[in-house]
Amino acid sequence: MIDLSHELDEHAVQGSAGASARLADAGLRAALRGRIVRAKRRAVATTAAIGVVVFGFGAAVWATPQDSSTVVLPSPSPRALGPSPIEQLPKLGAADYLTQMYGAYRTSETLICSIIPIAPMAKQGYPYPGSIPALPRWIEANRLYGLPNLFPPNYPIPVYSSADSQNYGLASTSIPKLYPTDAQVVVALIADDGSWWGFDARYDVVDVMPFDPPGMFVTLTPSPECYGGPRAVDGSHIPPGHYNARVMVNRTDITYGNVIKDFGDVEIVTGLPSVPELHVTE
Amino acid sequence: MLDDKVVGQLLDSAATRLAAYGYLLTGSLSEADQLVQDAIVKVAAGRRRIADVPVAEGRVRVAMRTIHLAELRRAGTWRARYAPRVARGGAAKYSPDPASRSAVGKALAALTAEQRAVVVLRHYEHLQVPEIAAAMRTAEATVSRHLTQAQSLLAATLGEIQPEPDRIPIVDGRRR
Repeated sequence: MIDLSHELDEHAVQGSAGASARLADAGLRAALRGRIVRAKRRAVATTAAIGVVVFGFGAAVWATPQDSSTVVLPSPSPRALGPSPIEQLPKLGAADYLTQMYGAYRTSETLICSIIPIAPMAKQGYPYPGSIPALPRWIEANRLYGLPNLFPPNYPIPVYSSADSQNYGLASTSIPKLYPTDAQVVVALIADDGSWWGFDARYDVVDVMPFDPPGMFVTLTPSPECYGGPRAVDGSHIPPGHYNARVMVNRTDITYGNVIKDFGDVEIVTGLPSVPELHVTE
Repeated sequence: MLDDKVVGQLLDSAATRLAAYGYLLTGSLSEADQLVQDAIVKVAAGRRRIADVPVAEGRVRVAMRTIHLAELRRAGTWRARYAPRVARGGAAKYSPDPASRSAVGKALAALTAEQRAVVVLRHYEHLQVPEIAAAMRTAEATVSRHLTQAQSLLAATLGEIQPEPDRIPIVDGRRR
């Protein structure tokens, strides 16, 4: 009887012989340093852009191609300062101010996070006419952050079960159209005190989940660049409670344009009540 | 976040271990090296500052697993959508490394990418089936099926495989 662990270990050591020499290569290390520097710069640029946006834009108007309602933004308190990397910003108060501004900052991949908390909606509603809610009314914290040794972070959250034939039928046709995989979808959960936590959202129809029946799921990944307010600090988890869920959809298909809207109240609950065998509360 | 010094120390002290893990996951020297580098960049650019090399190594290993399993999922989606439209077969994968010609190497080469990942996570990382299922975002039954098939394929070449001892989870869980 063989000990497969031992065999794999030996095979791995044999197979990786020379790895030290390859990874010690000066050229490779220089290239690796370059990649790290570029990745860090992207993060720094995002932080600076957030500072510019929050500090500089006291009032503006947001309009989407499909939604003619416009809103005036309040004056946010500055969270970070930094020089504007853009020479020609659109004129304050212009009807398409945020659209232009966003276009100017388009190279900053996660900039849209910073727009979300400072763009209150004129009215509650769903992003597109006739669309249905694409977030559950309550979200388990451990689906977001995981449970050591038992449950991974960023775990899919059920939105509509396929057993709910009416809603699931609508969701399975409308959600992939409204939130396509090539769109950047950011959901911000905003507390009453202005603290907010941003999550990258992705929608999937899945039928192989170990704990959940088949259906439409959303995966919310905490975005390291996307948070703000007094209680949201670097790496902090969103505490249990009620939040206003605001979504921004940045679509590559310009026909639909970019949309930002409120979903309304969403509650964060501790543990995993939907998976009793793993449910723990801290 | 890792600074240059920590990255250098990490590569000096752990390159072989990380490459070995990458090699087991991918079955390819070049893909293993690439996986190690991708994982280092991911951890180095993260917001959390890590000054301790062993901690950094652990984070890089987890990142390697995450990146590799995400790649498998993407490949699985591609196969499900487009595989019926493309011709089957194709050139055999060229493996220049001698380890691939060993008995274990040949046996592992006979596995699918998913089977290989499950075997490595179970017998090298010593994860439990539910942990593997969670990491792969798939059902436990699917993992068990991959594991059973992989073990029987490996056993046909290598002989009977000693069962992996179970661990008791250290996190308290209670039924409601």
